[in-house]
Amino acid sequence: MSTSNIDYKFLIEIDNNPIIVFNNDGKILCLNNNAEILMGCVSTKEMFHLAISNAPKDYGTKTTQLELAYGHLKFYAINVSYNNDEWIAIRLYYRPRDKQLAKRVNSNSEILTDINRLLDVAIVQFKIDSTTDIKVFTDQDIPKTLLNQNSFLKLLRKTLSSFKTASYLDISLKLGIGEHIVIGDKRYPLINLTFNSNGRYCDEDKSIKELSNELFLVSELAESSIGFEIPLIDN
Amino acid sequence: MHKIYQTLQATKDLLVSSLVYGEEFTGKRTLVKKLFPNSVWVDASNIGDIQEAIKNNSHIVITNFEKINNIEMLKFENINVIAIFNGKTYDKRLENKFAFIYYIPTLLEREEDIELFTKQYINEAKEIYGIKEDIKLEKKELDISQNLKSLRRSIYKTILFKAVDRDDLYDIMYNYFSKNYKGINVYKEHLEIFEKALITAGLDIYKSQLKLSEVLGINRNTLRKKVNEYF
Repeated sequence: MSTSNIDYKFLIEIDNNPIIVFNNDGKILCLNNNAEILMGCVSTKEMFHLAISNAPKDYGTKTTQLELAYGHLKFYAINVSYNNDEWIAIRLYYRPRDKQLAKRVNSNSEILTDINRLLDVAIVQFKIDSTTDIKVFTDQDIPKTLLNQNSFLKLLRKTLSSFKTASYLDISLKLGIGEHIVIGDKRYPLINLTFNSNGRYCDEDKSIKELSNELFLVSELAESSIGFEIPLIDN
Repeated sequence: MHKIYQTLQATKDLLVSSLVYGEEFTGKRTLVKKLFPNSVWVDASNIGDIQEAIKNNSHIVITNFEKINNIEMLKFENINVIAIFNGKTYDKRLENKFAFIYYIPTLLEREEDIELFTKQYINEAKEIYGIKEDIKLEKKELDISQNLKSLRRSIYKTILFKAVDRDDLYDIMYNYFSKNYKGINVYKEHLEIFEKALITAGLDIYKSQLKLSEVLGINRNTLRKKVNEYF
């Protein structure tokens, strides 16, 4: 097979890390799915400034290790590249983490659940009386995980209703790369579920926090985004 | 309604609790019955029955949920629950009890459904009254003040009236008079029933008292006197 058939644009689009390409005026030329979520938490100007400040002196590429946090999104390194003066690209690397949870009470109300399915149902329900433009980026192959379906759907309803008057909402559901949570003496992968928009209501935040704790999820509630880290427990 | 139908349908095999609320007779029961034909139905008037149903079944429907005061006593875990609540507003504590909450609008807010149910009820009534010809009803003939209940009643009534012939009318009046033969002025008191309807229909057709008096074959002064008496 010829390499000319390879769809590099697609590969960039589905990359797990945000990639943004600017022109020399700081305008975004293109960005991938993950960068769309990131840009809900940071301004274009700030991101362009970050790229320029960490660009290599000559044409080429430069990787810099630095701790960055935008909303609930955390990064440990960036890579800035360009090979002419028309464009410059920045790629941000998510910070892999190991979280620790002392114990987790096993409950009979948890059953193996397709989390994508629950998200679908919650979105359809939300759309009954919302005109918010929703974009969903999900990994359909996330394995089933033990969940209390009723409580998790309650959590999704309350989370989505925080964005009920938002003009747009980007939802991302994916497996955290290299991220784990240690519960007791076992290590579990993490599923990241994030909701990003340009603003939201906070009146249900207390209830969202309580439900997350009840479900043993890690939640991060920011000004215009909500994120959950869900342990993938399949036994 | 279509979106609500689709969402509820998507939750059929999930262990989730849903509240369906709205005014009486908006079609909540019909909707749930269609989607969850195999669920066990319990009335909320007895909380013990509900707890028993929760313990022994995977899919239940609780009707008249507005009757429950002690919501905290109910735990919905590992069960598919649909609660039907009559009322336009609900206790906010229910938001923490149910994963999904659906509002079924009144019929007035669902114009497309008025048309749909009108067609359905006309067909039902035609079948019952043995009417073959097409029937079209005016909007003013439809009563939606009590949603589907009054709509159905108004359609049945209108169609029944259209189907009544002279013999039926005689039977109806005979029945009525038999039950109301009381006092010493029966003739005068009941004459209005016949005369008022006769004059109103005539005025609607001829629009003129003079013309109507000719058609009725009575003096126009007599007619005027009766019009003044009845209207």
